[in-house]
Amino acid sequence: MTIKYIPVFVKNIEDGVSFFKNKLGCTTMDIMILNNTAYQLMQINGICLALTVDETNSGAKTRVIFNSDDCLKDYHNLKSTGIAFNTPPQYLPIGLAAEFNDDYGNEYVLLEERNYNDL
Amino acid sequence: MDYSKTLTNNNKILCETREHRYQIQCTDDFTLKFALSGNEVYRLGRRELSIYPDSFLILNKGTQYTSKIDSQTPVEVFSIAYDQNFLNDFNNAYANTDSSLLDNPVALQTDFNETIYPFKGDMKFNITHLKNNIERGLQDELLINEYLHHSLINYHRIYQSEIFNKSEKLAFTNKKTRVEIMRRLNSAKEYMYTNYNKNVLLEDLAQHSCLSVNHLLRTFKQAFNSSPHQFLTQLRLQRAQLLLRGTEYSINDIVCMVGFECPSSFIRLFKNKYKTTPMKFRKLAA
Repeated sequence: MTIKYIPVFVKNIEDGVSFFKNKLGCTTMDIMILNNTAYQLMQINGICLALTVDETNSGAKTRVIFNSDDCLKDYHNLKSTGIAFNTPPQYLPIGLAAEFNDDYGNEYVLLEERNYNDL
Repeated sequence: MDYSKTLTNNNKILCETREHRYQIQCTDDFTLKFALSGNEVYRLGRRELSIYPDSFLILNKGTQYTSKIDSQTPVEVFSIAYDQNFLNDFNNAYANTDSSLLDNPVALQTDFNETIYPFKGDMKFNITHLKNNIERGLQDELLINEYLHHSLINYHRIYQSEIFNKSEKLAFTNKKTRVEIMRRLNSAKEYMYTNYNKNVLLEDLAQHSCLSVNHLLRTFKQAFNSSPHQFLTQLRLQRAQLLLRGTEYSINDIVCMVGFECPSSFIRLFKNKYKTTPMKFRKLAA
């Protein structure tokens, strides 16, 4: 068993697609219907996100952690697409990480894991 | 790949590979110096400082020095010189914030100890990314400056852990005494960084650092939590690791090159420290 799709709740599919496509560089895939709920599938480096509208207004939020080979470079590139980061990259025991939000309250972390035990 | 890059804000990045070179220079700006392969020897007045891939050197603005590369294999050196305005902006943007002042009491310092620091952790990751990106053709100066800004953050942290925190551990109430003893202990450390592959006598080390043998032993242990002998052994093992990983020299050659007297004690110490034998380490690293 493996993880197939990661749901991300948005207020409006069209705006959500625009954010993921234009700012994060995801590619748009099919629409999937599951239990009468529509999911817009978006792909980024082999991982599939499933954008869906929170019909129940339950305030559901998602936190996605992106892997980065070079956090400073990705931070800089994402900033130039118009993403407002909550903080500049921070040094953590696990590596370097920067956080940003979308317009729907979902949280994203750009994480470059660093092995400090290596030479 | 050799290049010399001067950014619009006058920060400079230099990378060159040489087997032989001798230079007499004076730094225009605060500079970080790295030897990414092999080693380069700097002379500052009477002090000799040798840097290897596990260490780097900082030079303050206006320091006169000579540098020498004399090697059978190519030595790749990398340096960053920060323009004074960039440093001032860094201090305003990063170091003067309330939270960082609390976290980082050395934040406002602008004149740092010109000595050898360990090249590891975030500093190593960021410099490696910067170098790789420049070699892949990165031209975006905003991003290059982002790396340079972060290298300064990394340097401040290294300075804090290597100099400030260690001098705080010295059992002297007078701050000036702590600073002076730390300066002398650093020269003992430099001496070991530079002469690790020779027979280092405690008397020579004490004389070099202008401390009596007893005083050196006591204060070194307070600051670094290890005796000079333990420090030197760790350094030799670390340099042996670099050679095991990056060269094809035999174990026996490496034992001599890093200053150990016999292979059996080297293998025993290596195994104690890294929980593996030098041969197994080399195979895994290949």
